[in-house]
Order: sequence, then structure tokens, then C-alpha cells
Amino acid sequence: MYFLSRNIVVAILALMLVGLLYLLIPGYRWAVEEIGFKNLNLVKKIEDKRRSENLPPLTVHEKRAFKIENYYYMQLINNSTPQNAVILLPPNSVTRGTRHTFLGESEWVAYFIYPRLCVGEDEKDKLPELYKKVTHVAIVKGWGYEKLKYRPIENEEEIVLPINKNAE
Amino acid sequence: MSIFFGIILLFLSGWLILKKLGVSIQPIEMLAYSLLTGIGLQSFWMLLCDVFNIQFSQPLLSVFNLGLVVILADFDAVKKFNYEQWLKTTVEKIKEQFLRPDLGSMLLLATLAGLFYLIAVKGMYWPTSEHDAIGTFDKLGIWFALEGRIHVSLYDVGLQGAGGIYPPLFPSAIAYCYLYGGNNPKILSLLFYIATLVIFFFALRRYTTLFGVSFFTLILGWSPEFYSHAALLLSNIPAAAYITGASLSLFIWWKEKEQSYFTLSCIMIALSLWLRQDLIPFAAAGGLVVLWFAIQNKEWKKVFVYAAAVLIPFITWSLYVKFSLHLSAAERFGAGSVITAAKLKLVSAYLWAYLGLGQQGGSPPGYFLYGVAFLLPIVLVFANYKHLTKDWLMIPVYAFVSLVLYTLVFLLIDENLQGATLQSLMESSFKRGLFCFMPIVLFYAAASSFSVKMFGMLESYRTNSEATRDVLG
Repeated sequence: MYFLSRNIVVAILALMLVGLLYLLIPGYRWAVEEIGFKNLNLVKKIEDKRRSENLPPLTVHEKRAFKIENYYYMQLINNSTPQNAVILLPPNSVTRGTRHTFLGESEWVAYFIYPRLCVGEDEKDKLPELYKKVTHVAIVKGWGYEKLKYRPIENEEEIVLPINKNAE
Repeated sequence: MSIFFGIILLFLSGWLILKKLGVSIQPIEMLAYSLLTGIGLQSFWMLLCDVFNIQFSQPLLSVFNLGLVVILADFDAVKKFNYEQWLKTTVEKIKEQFLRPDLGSMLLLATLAGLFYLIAVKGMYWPTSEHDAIGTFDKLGIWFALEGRIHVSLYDVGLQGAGGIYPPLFPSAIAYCYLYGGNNPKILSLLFYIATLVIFFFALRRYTTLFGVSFFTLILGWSPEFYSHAALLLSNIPAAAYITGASLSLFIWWKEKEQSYFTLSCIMIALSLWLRQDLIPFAAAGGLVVLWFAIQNKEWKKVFVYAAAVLIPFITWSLYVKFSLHLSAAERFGAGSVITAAKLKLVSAYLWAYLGLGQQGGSPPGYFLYGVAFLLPIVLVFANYKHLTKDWLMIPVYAFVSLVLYTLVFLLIDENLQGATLQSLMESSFKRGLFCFMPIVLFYAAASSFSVKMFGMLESYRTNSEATRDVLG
């Protein structure tokens, strides 16, 4: 025997339980609205715009640029240096509170610049061997010009330059 | 397509290993455990290649896995299997479900499926962007795949990241994903998330009604902090999956004396320590439960088997770290490793806040970061006071011992040596580590006499069944 009416009552109870959790507890609402639907709508918006303009699917680089504020700077490093470069990164005192918060952390930057290596100014005692091999300097907020062994023609706020004038 | 082949190989190799070890459980439950075992197996292949200085690659791993399949598969049983009968029974079961649907359970499970869809879209659309995944796990996974070894060049220049000292299971899984052509390893987080829910669902299904199981699985899967992590590439969701497997199978083994579950518990605890060595509090609590069983039943062999499952991965990785990677564990304990009243107050305040009952740091009051995943079991434990000493006594012991040891580690961390304040650790590592406790306490609450009786009464009402009512008393 199957009792449809009793099943409907239990289903209503289930619906009430889910509804109560959703309405009474902010965490559950956050999970559904902020984590779930907000992202779904964003993805839908991006994809709709892409299709309407007949553009190809977003690349990993484009998606990263959406999520990581200073991703353009990682690409600047890759475009400005040879593959065997060792990049000197600015200290945390320079990057703190800016869009470059993690730029001083070599462990984080290394992910984006393979096969190049990097070392933070704050890590010179921790990674002395790598620090000695620095070939390029990541200049941010004007920091890093003092590390160059020559005087560049222009002092740009953000640029990646070789440490020696004749280097690539 | 290649990634699907890779994932099928994970399931297949894991399944056959478990079968060979005599594990006999429900097929879907078996799939979840097979996945976890298969993923662990890949890191073992990679370590083996690394030790013998062979560069691993997709073809080599495929040869290893297919070779294992050929060796372990029981082809006679495959030939003799009555597919027609199996198909007929399965179709009948599905038909029965559709003709006489349990509407309440279906609604709860549909909600969970909807939530999974939302989180899967988020996880699979966006590339890795979490700080720790970029700094360690995904980076190591990429390097493992590129260089075909575990001791990658990052270790030689000190750029392996803070988690580079962790055992290789998670980065190996990520490397496996890349080697098989997967372009977003966050598929692993989704698989680990699903595996946690499936293991929980089937463990609990033995003791309560479908509606009860669906409800508690929804509470687990929807737990806000846990749910949001299913779209991230961090090691906390895998840790929850392995610890869920290790603990729930241990409880079932204790209750039912089914050897399959003891075997599963040993495999899962070994793999959890092959994922993160700081999961040792759960191994210690599990060891205590096994010892308790051994004293009661004079079965000492179990203690040795469990101890081997704990010690082998722990010692293997420690030796590899020392002799191959030449790393020493970061100093975390020193002069500042003292428990003070201020530390105790801070930790208690965070525990209280994580229950959703207080304000501490970045955790707003009433926000319920874990939903009711901790609060509901507390309420149900009080409601079940009459049966506290009869019902699943080993679970509160297990949960208490593991929680005390887990908290003790944080209380004893020297903040200067760690380079982080206790407050920041409570808001990151400690908070995410609580994922492992949720399935344990929810299982305890759901399988308690009071809860089983309540859901049994509801089932009796739904089916209008006198028989069910009689069985449940």
C-alpha cells in the first residue's frame, strides 16, 4: 500500500525543515546565495556576453585575471624575462595593503612564472643561494630601482627590469 | 576524454584492491571507498617511481594501474556474472522507488543535488585562486606532473611552500589529474566532497530511515564552511573524506563486528596520514578504540594491524623527508609552548563562536559557519540522556580524545616559531580542521536511540506501518 497523502505531509515537513534552515540561519543563506547563485549568475553573465559577441571561451589566463587582482603583473614578469630568470620580489612592507599583497611571497609567485624562479627581498636570509642568482627585479610602487646596477632612462611605477644593464 | 579514463582507472584499481582485501559492502558505498583508495594508490606509484629514479607519466601510470587490474581482477566471476538478472533487479528497484516514492527523502536529496550543482559550477568554472593552493598544493601538483617525480626542483631551491612538508597524496592526485589531461584539478575537491557524503549516507543508512539519513546528509553537505570548500583546492575536504571513512567504518566495525569495516578503517586512516600527518589525533583516538576492543575481546592482532596502518605511512614519509627532500619539520613548539589562561579563553571563545553562539574575531554572532552540524548533535545528546551509556559509547570517547589532542596542538604552538598568532590559526587551520569532526558527531546524533525512534515514528506514519512501529518499539 502506498499512502500518497501521508507522503505529501512528510514532504511538506521536509520542505519546512529546509525553509527554516534557510530563513533562520544566515550561514545557510550565505552558502546558497553568495556561494551558489551569485557565482552562477556571474558565470551566466560572462558566458552570455561572450556568446552574444561571438567570442571564444575564456582562457585560464582571462579567468585568473578575474580572480587575482595583480595577475597582469605575473604576465608582465613572464613577458619581460627569459625562462631562466631569477626575479627579485619586493618586501612585504611595500606590497602590504595594495593589490600586490602576495607579490613578496616567492612561494606564491613561483606558481605563475614557471620555469622562472623568484626570491623575496624579505627572504634573502632564508634563501641566500637564490638571492645571489637574481637576474631581474620586480619593481612595484617605485621600489626596486636601488637594486639595479645602472640607472634606467625612465622610472616607471611598475615594471620588471634586468639587474644588469647588458642582461636580456 | 583522457581524464574520464583516468578517473575510471582510479575507481577500478581502488575497487579491486578492496575486493582483494576481502571488503564486501554495498556497491555505491564501495565506489566511494574505491575512489579514496585509488587516489591513494597513485601517490604510492609515484613514490615508487621516485625512489627508483623513474620519471612517471600518464602512460606509465596507466600501465601500472591496468597491470594491477589484470592481476587482481577475477575474470571468471566477471564472465559468470548474471548481467540479465542484475539489470532486471535494478530496474525493478528503480521502478519501485518511482511508483512508491518517499517524497520527503526525495525532496531533501533533490535539495542536496541542487546545492551540488551550484558548487560544481563554481569549482569547475574558475581556476585555482586560493592562496594555499597556489603556494603549495596546486603548484606541487603541476611540478610533479611536469618533472615526473615527487622530489621536484622546487624543493632544491626552497620554493615548495609551507605545505611542501605534507605527505604527497594530495599533490599526487592533482598531478594525476593534469597527467590525464584534466585542466581543472578542482574536480578532485568535488569528488572528495561527494565521497564524504556517500560514506556518511551509507554508514548511517544501516541504522535509521531514508528520511533520517537524507536529513542528516543534507545537514552535513550544506554546512556553510564545508560546502564552500568543495569549490576550493585545499587539503581540508580530502582530510574530511578520509577521516569520515576511517572513523565511521571503525564505529560500524565495533558495533557489527564486520571485518570489512575494520579493513576499511585501517586503509582510510593510513591514507589520511599519507595526506596530512597532523591528522594523527584521529589515529590516536582510533587506536584507543581498537585497544579497548582488544582488551574486551582478547583480540590483540587487531591492535597490531591498526598500529601498522598508522605507523607505516608516518614513518615512510618521515624517512623520505629526511633522506630525499632533506627538509626538517618547521619548529612549532618551543619556549612559547605553554598553555595559559588567555590561550584557553581564546580557544574556548572560538569554539563557542563556531557553534554559532558567540562573537569572536571575524566570526559574527549567529552566523553559524557550520550551520547546525554541531549544535543539533548537542541537542540530540541531551534528548538521548537515557541511553547515553548504552548507545555507541565509543563515539563520544573517540570524538573527545581526538578533539582534545587536536586542540592541544594549537594550544601548544609557539606563536613566535610558527610566525602566526593563535587567533589567526584559530580562524584558518583550526576552523577548517573541524570538518573532520562534523560527520562523526552527526553520525552519533543520527544513530542515537532517540533520533532513530523519532525518525522511525515518522516512517511509521508515512507508510502507515504497524510492523515498523513494532520493530522500533
